[in-house]
Parts: sequence; structure tokens; C-alpha cells
Amino acid sequence: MPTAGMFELMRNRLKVLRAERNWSQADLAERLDVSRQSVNAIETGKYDPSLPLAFKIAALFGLPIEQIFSADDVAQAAE
Amino acid sequence: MTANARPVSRRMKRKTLYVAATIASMLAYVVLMALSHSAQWLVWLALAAALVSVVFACLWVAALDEAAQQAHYIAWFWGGSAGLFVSMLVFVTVMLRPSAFDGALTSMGVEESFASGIVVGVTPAVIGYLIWWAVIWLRRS
Repeated sequence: MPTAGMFELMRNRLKVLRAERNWSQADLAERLDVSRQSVNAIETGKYDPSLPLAFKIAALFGLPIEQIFSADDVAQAAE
Repeated sequence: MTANARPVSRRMKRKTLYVAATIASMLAYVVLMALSHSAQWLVWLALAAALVSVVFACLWVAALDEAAQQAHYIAWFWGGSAGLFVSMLVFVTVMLRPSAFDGALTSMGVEESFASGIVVGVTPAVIGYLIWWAVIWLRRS
């Protein structure tokens, strides 16, 4: 599981969704009004976006948040 | 510039403006302090310039996106805390053995005890912050 230091982080499909649209990290960063480093940090699991940014990402891709972000332990707890 | 050059975002323009203003006002502080031997009021003007730089630095932080802000907060907490630990070590060492660092600060050009206290208290925290932030930035780049 991707982690940043001692904190557990969520999985996301940002890289796949971006690739499907043939966008670079800089393209996505521009659409989200964040830096390219921030997009890279989210994609590689080094940073979890805030809820407002997660909603912005979901709106940009036209998908529900849970189809972009997921957490294994949350899914297991729900079962 | 290439034909498909990416337009600079408004956030990037704001960040650049605030960084430039912060650096300019800090330079103004240094220049005014260097000239302050001729008039006392220049000291107050220099301090005002320093306060202006703090305002612009705050605006710069506010203009950063959330991930960049988080990187600076984490860097300040962990790097700054590690630096403060070094400061505490120096403090305790001097308490236990007052002559432990004799000559170390004077060799760096810091002679006044007040100034040396500032240097020992702040410098390690700032260095720790910068190192921590650089590590985060490199990992995300």
C-alpha cells in the first residue's frame, strides 16, 4: 500500500484517467489550478487531496469520488 | 518560447509577484539597515520594510495550492522541531559545561551574547525546515 511516512494513504485512479484523456500532469494541474508537483504527489500516493479538491477532480472527470479514490481498509470494514 | 507554450496560470502569477515582493522588501530592509548609521529613522523604516516582507510572505503561502502548503507545514513541524532539538542540545550542553562552545560563534562573526542566542535558537530550526522541505519537493518532482 502506498504510504507517506507513517500515514496510510488512499489509492486513486488519477493516472489512468489522465492517460485515457491523453493529458499530461501539467495539463491536469492547469485544469485543477494546482501545481504539477501536487498532481504528481496525488498520483503517486504521497499526498491525499482535501475533500474540496477531490470533488473538483471528480467533477473534472465526470465520475463519483468513490470511482476515483478508494481505501482498502475502508472497503474491508464495510464488508 | 515555443508555439505551444503553456499560459502562466493566475495562481502562478500571484505566487511570483508575492515572492518578488517578499525578496524586494527584505533587500530594502538590508539596504536601509546598512545606511541606518546616518539616521535613526532609517532603522524604523528598515523594520517597516521587514514587516512588509512578512505580509507578502503570508500572501505567498496563501497563494500556494493545498499540497504545497501541506509540504511547508510538515517541513516546518518536523524540520523545525529537529532544529529546535539541536538548539536544546546546545543549550543543555552549555548549561552543563559553559566553555563547551567557546570561540565557535565568535569564529562565525557572532560576538554579542544576544545575537549568538538568536543564531543558536533559530538557525538550526530554519536549516531543518529547509532540508525537510527540499526532501518533500524532490520526492514530488
